[in-house]
Amino acid sequence: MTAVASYEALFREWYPRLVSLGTAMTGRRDVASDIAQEAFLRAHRDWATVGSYERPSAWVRKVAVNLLVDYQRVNARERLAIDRLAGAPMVESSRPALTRWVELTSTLPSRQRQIVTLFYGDDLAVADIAVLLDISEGAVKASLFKARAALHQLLESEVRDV
Amino acid sequence: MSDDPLDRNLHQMAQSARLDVERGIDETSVEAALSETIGDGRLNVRLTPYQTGRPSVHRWMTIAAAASVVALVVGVAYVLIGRDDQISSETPPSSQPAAPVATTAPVATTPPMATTAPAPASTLPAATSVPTTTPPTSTTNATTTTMSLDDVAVITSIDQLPFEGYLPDAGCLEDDCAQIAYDSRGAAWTFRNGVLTDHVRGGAVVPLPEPWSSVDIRDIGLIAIGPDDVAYFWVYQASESAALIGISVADGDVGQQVVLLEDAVDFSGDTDYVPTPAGLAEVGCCGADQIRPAPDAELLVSWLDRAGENPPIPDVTFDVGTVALSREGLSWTFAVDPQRLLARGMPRVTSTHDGGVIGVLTGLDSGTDDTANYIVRGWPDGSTSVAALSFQLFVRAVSPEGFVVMVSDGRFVVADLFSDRPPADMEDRTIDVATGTVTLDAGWPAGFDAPEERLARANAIAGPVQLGERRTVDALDTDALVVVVISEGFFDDSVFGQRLTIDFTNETIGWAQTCQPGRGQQDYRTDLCV
Repeated sequence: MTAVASYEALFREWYPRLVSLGTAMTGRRDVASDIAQEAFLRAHRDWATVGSYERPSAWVRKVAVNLLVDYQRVNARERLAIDRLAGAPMVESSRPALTRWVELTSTLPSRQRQIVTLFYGDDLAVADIAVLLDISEGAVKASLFKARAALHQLLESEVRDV
Repeated sequence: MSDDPLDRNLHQMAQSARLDVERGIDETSVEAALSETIGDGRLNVRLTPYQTGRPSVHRWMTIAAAASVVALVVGVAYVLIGRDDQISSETPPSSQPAAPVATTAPVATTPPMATTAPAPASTLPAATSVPTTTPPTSTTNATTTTMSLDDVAVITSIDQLPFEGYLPDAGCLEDDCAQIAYDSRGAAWTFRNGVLTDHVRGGAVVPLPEPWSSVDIRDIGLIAIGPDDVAYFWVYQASESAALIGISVADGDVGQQVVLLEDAVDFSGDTDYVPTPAGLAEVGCCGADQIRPAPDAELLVSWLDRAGENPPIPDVTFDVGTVALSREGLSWTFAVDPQRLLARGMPRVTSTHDGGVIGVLTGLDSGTDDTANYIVRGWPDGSTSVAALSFQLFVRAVSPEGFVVMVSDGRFVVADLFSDRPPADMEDRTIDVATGTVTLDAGWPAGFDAPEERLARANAIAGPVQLGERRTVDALDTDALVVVVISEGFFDDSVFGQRLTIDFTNETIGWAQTCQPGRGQQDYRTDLCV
């Protein structure tokens, strides 16, 4: 496979996955699309190196997750303001499952939201998440434990309310 | 995923959410996004050995050398950093080919270089310096000076050298010497028995992952610590090739293998792999390349950091024809007949924190008792210094501080061969305890535009690492405009640690110290310890 073909194959397979991952993390399809494109742009620019990796998809995903984390860090205040004004994150209402997930996880701190999305939505192991987020496995487990507890409580309260 | 109902529920919700999004991304939108990333459809692809499977034997072409000279004349400053951080301390057994970073036996038959008599043991041999006298030569805006090697005394005993410090627990155990490399920040790393040790950031260790951790030390060699926070190694595979592996040393994914290029390293000759601004470049053992690395040198890997950016490092080249070192518009010429030097591959050369260079030029007949290695130093003002070391005092590395690293009594020792000049990292400075500030007497250095350069500069301002010292160099912002250097664990019964806060925007340095128990404050303040 030529370099061009291998890049395009990677893009076609992973672009939708990165957009969906980013949307599930941020609740913003537009942001997720931009970030996925940015990650692929960087891969494209240095494809001579990235394309030689055993798993270029892992590199692209890591860059995308780093950008997502940066976005959430930088935009934390903006997001809080929007949430206050709108009462909920900006989610496409035509996607009920996405809306449900984003609403549920929007109550979590951003780090926990990232971790539960990667764990449940991307089927990543704790060790892989630790590498991806540059934190220890212990920190991932701790965040996962707290997030599960919070989500458990939230789901139970919803059942009670019904 | 566990069988816990909550886990199953959350898994289903998250998967559904993602499918919700992915269903909304049709083929048309993917193709549109793809065309945006590709732009005009041309990929930035270089033909490198690993892309063609088996590495081609690199032989330099006359036309490439000619192009190099033309490029030099028109002022195209080309850059690279030398092999200072490529040390293979073990000579492979004769049944194996030489490692690509090892210096090999000479091929020419020119008589050995004449040297002056060794200095008396009781006398500290002074390196020779000359002021800037000769006009610029080939490189545009370059300052060029000449220095003769003929009148330099040869240092024959390590006892004659002024030690600047030690790297603890990192030297040699019997014949098994650790390999040493400096990263772009000026931090020393050593490698032995499958473990990398960082001697600046707290002595942290990085075990290599399997199967590399158990590879015989003779079959693996540290090539460089890249500015991308990846340690690159060659691993012996076959008679004329080796694999290149890259192990992350970045916080977060430290110890992870990030690169594996089978058969990528050329073992057919004495090919060197040299860190350059663009990546790890190949320098052939021989051939017509006058400028090394050549401007068109093949890259084994490009530097890419975690954000996909290319972290810059200073550029240094060696002109084998004129025996000159160049760095970003400056060049230093050493007036020696190039026929008297071993001109294979790339000499160990590095940029120094003060804007100069330091390198090791190997004399012909290297390995015999009466030959020397020449440590050449280019100062930022354009002047040069030269010291000559007997071959027995094998230089393991040259450091960005402008020092040389050798082995004595099983330890790496760091020596300043040019003590008649202020070391690059130890310019005179004044600490004002009352205000907690440090002033560099020579004024604030120019340049240091890149974050990596500022981190290296901050490390240099703190001086060489002392015995027992644990040092951290941390940027407080992504651009490294403010860098904090903390040095602790001094062998001092009063002071426990020192903190320098270096502000590159305001050109200020804050100073504070913490004391040993019972000798004063236990946090960082400007009070003196007792």
